[in-house]
Amino acid sequence: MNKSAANRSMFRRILRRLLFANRGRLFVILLALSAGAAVSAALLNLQVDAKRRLSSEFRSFGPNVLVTPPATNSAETLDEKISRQIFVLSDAGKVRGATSLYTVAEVSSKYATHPVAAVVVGFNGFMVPGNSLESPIASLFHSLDSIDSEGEPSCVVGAKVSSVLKIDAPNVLTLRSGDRVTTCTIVATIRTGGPEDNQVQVRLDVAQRLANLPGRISLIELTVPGDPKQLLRYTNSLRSQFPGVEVHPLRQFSEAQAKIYSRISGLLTAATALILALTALCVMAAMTNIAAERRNDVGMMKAIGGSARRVLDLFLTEAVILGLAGGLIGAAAGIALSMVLGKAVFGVAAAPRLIVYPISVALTVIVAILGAYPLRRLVNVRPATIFRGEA
Amino acid sequence: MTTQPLVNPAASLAPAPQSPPQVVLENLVKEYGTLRALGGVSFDIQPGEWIALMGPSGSGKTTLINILGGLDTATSGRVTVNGEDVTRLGESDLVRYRAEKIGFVFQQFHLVPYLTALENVMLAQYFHSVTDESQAVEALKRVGLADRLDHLPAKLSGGEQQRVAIARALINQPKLILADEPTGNLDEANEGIVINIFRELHHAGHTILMVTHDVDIARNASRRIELTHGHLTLDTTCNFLEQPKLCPHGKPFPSSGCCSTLDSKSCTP
Repeated sequence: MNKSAANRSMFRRILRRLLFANRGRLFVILLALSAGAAVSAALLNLQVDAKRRLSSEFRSFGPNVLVTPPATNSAETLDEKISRQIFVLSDAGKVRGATSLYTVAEVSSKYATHPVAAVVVGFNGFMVPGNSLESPIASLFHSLDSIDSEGEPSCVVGAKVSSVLKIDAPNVLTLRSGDRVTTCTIVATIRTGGPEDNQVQVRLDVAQRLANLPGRISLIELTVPGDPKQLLRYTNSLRSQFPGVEVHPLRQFSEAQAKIYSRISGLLTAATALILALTALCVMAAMTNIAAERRNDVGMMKAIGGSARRVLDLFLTEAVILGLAGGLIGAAAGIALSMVLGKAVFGVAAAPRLIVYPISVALTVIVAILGAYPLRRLVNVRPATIFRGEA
Repeated sequence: MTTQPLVNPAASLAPAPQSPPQVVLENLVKEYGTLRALGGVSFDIQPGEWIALMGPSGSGKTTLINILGGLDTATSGRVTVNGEDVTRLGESDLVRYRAEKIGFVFQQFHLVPYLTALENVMLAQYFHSVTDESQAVEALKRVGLADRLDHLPAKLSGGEQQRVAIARALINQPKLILADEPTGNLDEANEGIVINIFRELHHAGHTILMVTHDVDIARNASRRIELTHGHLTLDTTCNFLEQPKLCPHGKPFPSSGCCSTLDSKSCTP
């Protein structure tokens, strides 16, 4: 056996003896570290999951970025290709969006004596497959698309239009704009309390044909994940890439999301820090006893030629092993705990976040090393001072 | 209990009178705040000497041995061991000095309680350079503990623990053995065993400085030094059966056959 292998073997031998010298104390330290790791892992998992959950909750409110034609002319439209270019430039996996064309048409039914003028909205919620905007309209159009593929165009009618025309699903509606006429079958009536109540929603291509604006759109709605700063960066980048359009960030949503997340995050971070500090104090209390027990051992080790560094290496490695063991056990338990807590707080179990596991284990190791402070202090004392009982 | 001889008896050597001193203490002072533990102690130690360091409690014996072993620092004065000024060594050099040149044997044994007898000896090897289990086993066999290798200190008698401590002190072949009342906690039988080991070490040419209160043990030493209140009050190679007398200044030295080196010039008739 070469020199370093022999010494490594001796190092492991001493370490094993150190760890199992007092099994009761080992259990107490492991328990403290595991409990600390469990609670901190649970809180960290909730914190990470809260961001995702809030993003998802806020996304359901609708878009946070609108792309429109220049404000100089309200009749102006955009080339539909722009929406595809935007998606090419964006992170297609995260940005969701929809395009719409607004036109005014005479809407009539066989039950109404006179036609009424209504806004007809052509809607395409599938700029990129699988990345539809999350909104009630988008949800409706998701089903609408599959119905449309079977034959005559379908439409969704706002509650007020439905009332004036005395018509409901599944009747046929006639839409006229100039000399262009089309019909659609009503599949649903919606009441949102907003402008949708006065609109007739059809597929984008139907509206484009009615308005005689093939390949044109009035609006691109985007849902961009991230905080207000990320949103601002994204909109600035759009402005520079597409100087001919107007980009309007709807900041109140992202700011509200950031505010709520910041509060939740701050609370959870403070709680985690407090738990880790308490764990460190518990470990430190146990280590103070160990330091008292090992006072003579440290004095003797130094007296027979042990440097502070080598003695400290033993104690720190012991602390790291304890931290690792406590962290691995506790963090696993904590992530499971967070799923239960998540259910209690958000009504849905928090998804286990893998990143939380190594972070919690690393934090527990750091806590164990900090908790070993009494031992670190002891190894720097002169042996004679220890033997005199002054350390 | 049988112990193997620690050395080949033929290799026994007596200190060479003219050889340069192995240890030189010059005006060594140690103060703890206002308390002066050592008040300017000076003497030399020749290679191979066995010195019994005596004196009442609080006379500075342990302080002196701690400074000599690099466990404590002197307030002033100089300690030279094999030409190396110990009082000027930095922390890392002191660690090396303790590991390579000094073998400590304490009254309280100071064995690591969670390491076996064998591991306690190997610990000294580990801090010195490299562990060698067979060498450590051999060292324990020499002090008669071949059948106690895997015993924890708590399972050993006081005498056995002290023999482990001696094996640990010797494993790195130190130039100077410092023993602080090594038999202070032992019964008569174990005391005899331990003193026999020291006798063999002395015959093997090891330099030993042993703190003791026991005149019978001190009688084994080749020289006796006494401290009182931090001052050297006796330094003699006399046969201790005849209690040597101190020479007060200006008084004739008694022609008892004693050869005190302390202030001998002024004591000369």
